[in-house]
Amino acid sequence: MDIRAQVSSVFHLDKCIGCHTCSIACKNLWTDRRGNEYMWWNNVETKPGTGYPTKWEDQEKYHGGWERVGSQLRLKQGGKAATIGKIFHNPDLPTMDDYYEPFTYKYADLTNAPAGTDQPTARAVSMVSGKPMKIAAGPNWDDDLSGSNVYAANDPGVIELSAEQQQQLFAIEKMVMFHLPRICNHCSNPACVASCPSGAIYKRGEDGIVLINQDKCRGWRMCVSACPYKKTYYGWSSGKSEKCILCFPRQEAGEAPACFHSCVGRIRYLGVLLYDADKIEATAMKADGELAAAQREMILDPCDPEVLAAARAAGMAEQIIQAAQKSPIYKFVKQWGIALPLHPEFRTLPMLFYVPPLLPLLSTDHQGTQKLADDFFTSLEQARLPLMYLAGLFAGGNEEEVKAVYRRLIAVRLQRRAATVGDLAEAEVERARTISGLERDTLDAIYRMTSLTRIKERIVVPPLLREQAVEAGMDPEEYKQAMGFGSRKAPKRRW
Amino acid sequence: MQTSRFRFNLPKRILTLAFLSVALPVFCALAATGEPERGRQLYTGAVAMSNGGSPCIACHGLTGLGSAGAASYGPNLSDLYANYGEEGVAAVLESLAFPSMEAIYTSRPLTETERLDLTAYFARTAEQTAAPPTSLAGSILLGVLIVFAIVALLGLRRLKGVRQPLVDQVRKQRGMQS
Repeated sequence: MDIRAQVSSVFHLDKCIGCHTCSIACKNLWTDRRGNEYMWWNNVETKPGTGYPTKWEDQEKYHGGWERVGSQLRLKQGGKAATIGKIFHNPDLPTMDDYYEPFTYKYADLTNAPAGTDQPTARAVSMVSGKPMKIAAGPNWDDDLSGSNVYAANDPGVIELSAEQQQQLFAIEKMVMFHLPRICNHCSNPACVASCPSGAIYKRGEDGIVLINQDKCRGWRMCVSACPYKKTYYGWSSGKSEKCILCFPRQEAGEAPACFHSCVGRIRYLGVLLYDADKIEATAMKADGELAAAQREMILDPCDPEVLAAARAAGMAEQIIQAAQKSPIYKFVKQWGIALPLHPEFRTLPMLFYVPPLLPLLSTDHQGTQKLADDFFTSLEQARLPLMYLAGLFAGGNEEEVKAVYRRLIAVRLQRRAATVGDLAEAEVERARTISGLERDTLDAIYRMTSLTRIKERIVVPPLLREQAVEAGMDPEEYKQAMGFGSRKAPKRRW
Repeated sequence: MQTSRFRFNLPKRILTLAFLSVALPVFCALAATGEPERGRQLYTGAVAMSNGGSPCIACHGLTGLGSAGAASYGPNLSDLYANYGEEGVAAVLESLAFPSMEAIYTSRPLTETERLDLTAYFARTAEQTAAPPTSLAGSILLGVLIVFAIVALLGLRRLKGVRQPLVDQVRKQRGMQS
């Protein structure tokens, strides 16, 4: 057993309102530099939709993530020889148009225009060329407009559905959509780390945050194509690749990451997970549909005395263990089993989990509504958002995984409805509990964690113990304020 | 001391002089024909001119040397021997009285042997009916084209935009102008 700690997260999709506050907080903090205009370490996309960059989920195009070759796990873009072979012409990079051409407006024209009979306008200009441009795409071009004939219709998950299911999805006035906020998953088996020819990317030992060393990065961009989530970006001014750093400078100062802190819908949960690193390879080799369950197996109970002994023997700090015991993530993923990884079939073992949205409330029958009774459970198959689509997103196509989550979420709702509205027979609620397999107290705990918690319960930032190191040298507050992104050393030439 | 040393060296000097008086005319007679192979080495710069002059190939083209013999700064010398004959070539090599060559060769003249060797080489070249030298610029252009073709072939596999084709496809379906 090789116990590691991972700062992990859960995004509760039922609560996401798609306001993009997280994206803006992140943008203002980390990527407002020249050459980084197009990059969104945190982005929110509308599903069904093709996302950002366009069709990032389609690995037949981008060749990201891992694949099984015989009994081996191999990067889909090729092994070491292939990487060297295409080191000067990586063919799998998204084009600028697939992200979008960054733009701004000539705001000064509004105030500097000479007096005239026309209203002055601020024309759109490209942030790349500085010339006026026609805006054709954005990081969430199809925001809140699911059913679009270009973007939603070409969602790789939607293409897999039958014509009938597609029609249900896009029926006028019954259109169904949800928001999917995405940051780096800080995977246990990161493809970006494996692909880097310079060895510049690493997974931090004490918290599992995946970082790119800006001094070592030489801008080959193999990580950009290798990451199946397209969450590493090339900085066109710095000549280095960058990615979400899970706000480690904020975490080291005891603060929540900026996107977590700013989240209006309070959908974001953060905490430490303990997992067995010895199991990574075997887990990543499982069949598509078994990956989500296998990943849960990898995560260890932080209260199990055996695990604790092994963790202490491995030199894990007591504070980290305590944080792991308070982790809301462990509850969501393991105890309650209502959070699933995004696209586990990419085999990077993402450590960011999602509570799938409970859209089945909108059914295909009964004018889109559903009686909160018996047929709730049988009606999952008639859900407005086909289970197959959700299974494709969160369970490698395994519908049973998604169904199990929904049964639990529905049981929570029925129990709360009985408690607050009181129009449900106790037998009905009891039946829901039996089907979900969870106790009354557990369902209550899910409800409390989902609805009533304060920030310190949702976001349990572990003491990363770098605070002491910082404190020794400088005022932690100053460190927190002055921490910037980028290289501080002049590049060291090797010849 | 001085006298004894003089006496000791005297027979050696006499011997040397005697040897030279016999050998020099023989050498001169041998050299008068010139070696074409040595001439080729002088022409191409494989052997340096003893007075430091530039090899001919730097400016003049010549058949039989492939692309390397395609220099075009001075006139092509393939027909030199045919046009001027042995005496004419020898005279030209002796003075090299052309404005651009004077600057180099007045201070670094060709030696007697070198002139003979080069003349012999020109004579040999005149006998050959080799194809005219392929242009070096042409060969380089061909090479560049081949490299470009390889790059273009590799580029065929490159991801050429995902979003725009989706938009174009829908426009086409609806018969819209892009």
